[in-house]
Amino acid sequence: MRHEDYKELLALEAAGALEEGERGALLEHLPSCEECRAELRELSDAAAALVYTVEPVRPPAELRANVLARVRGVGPSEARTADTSSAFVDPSEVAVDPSEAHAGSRLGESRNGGARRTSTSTSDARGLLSGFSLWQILTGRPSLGFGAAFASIVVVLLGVTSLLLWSQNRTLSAEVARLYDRLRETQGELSEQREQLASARDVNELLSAPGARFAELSGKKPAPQAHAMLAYDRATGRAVIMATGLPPCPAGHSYQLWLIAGDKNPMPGGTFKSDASGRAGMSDRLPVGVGQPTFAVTLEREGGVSAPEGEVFMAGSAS
Amino acid sequence: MSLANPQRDAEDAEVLRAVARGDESAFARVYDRYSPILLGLLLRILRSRPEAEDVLQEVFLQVWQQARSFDPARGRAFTWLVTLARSRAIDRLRAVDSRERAARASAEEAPPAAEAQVWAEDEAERAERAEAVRGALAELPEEQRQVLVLAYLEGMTQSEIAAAKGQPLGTVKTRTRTGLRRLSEALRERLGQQVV
Repeated sequence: MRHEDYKELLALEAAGALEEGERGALLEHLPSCEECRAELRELSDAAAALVYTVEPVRPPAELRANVLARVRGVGPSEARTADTSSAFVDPSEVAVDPSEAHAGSRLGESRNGGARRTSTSTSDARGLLSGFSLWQILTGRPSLGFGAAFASIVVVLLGVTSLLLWSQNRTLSAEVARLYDRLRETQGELSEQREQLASARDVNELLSAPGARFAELSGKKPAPQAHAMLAYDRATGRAVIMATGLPPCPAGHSYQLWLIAGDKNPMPGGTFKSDASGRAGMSDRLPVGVGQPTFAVTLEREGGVSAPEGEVFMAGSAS
Repeated sequence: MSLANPQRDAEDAEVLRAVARGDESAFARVYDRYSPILLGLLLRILRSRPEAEDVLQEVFLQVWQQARSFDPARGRAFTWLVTLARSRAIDRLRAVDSRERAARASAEEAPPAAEAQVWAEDEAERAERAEAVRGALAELPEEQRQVLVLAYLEGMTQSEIAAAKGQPLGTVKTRTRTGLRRLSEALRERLGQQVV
């Protein structure tokens, strides 16, 4: 193909519409052609810009927590980040099945377990056979009938050995699984502690921020006994709320924080739940730069909504 | 105009470099900034909320594992993220039974407006960009606009578009090509040297 032919393919590649065969040819051409690379880059940016016409959808808070928990303590793997020769990046070539990545350590462990087990058993068998040779030497040269006896002994030995191996295999697999569970438990505890530490640090930073504002939220009709303290840093949007006296959330619902600037529409904040004693706490990022903020807490569908629909449980303005 | 935002690009690239070093808070920043727009895209392609959320998780795990392979010289961070997400979604789409796809396409499960929400600070910037892209897209002839949207945002192959529109494959390819080049030019005119 000539350079001009490749140029014809660039826009289709950027639009994600190139068929596999042509695509391979283009990917081979790109490393040697600066002009095509530059053009592809520009066209890819233009194609990606199309995504701005799609309405964004905020994922539920649990999804965020889940994603962050899954990367916590697991460094990005170098082996899996091998660069590709793709035009821009070809995720299908470097795609990692996350379930596989997640279970990687487990598979690795059990494979190791398997390897260890096999080598042990091989040496066992070798020991038996060498013992047998010794016995053979001690008893002199084997007679004619000895070949058959030898063969049947070997068969029996092999049978016994595989039985042993099979049961060892089961024991080891169970042990690997148990150790893996322990590891996960420990990792879970560790990340929980890290989270607590991080949130304590957040609160510290926020309370000592020069632009921090404080608000006391008092309980409204559905929960007159509710009460909360809230700190908000207008420079960073960081906010922390600590509440008491909140009734437990009905299933499928959570409390949601709102930031209200003057008579404008309330801006959505994060969602949280109260514990059995009616306490709740949340560290959040709210829109920045609101000078005279009012805060409210409503009961909404789980995951939160973009405009308040439920009843107001608490409200108050910054001092 | 702050639309072509080289500063934002540089910041994004820096954040992705931090992610490549294993910085979890940088990773959280990428997630917070781009998960709503990527979920919007995934939902558009997959038309199923549970699947879109599932793929979104896969995409971000991939971002974590492959941030190192992002090279700012080869494109913007936003483009890199969109390319990852789109490609994952299309893999998933191809795995889904074609009958189910047809059912989904007719169901047109668009996200309800009430769920379209992002943090207000990013929202203003996103809305501004969306406006510019819509404007640029409006300059294209209808048939070029259509093939671009079907190919990029619906994940349809050129042959599928040709079949759906009852047009020759060659025509569809030409329209995609011309359309994207025009879009790129229109964006450049609107935003100066920097593409959106």
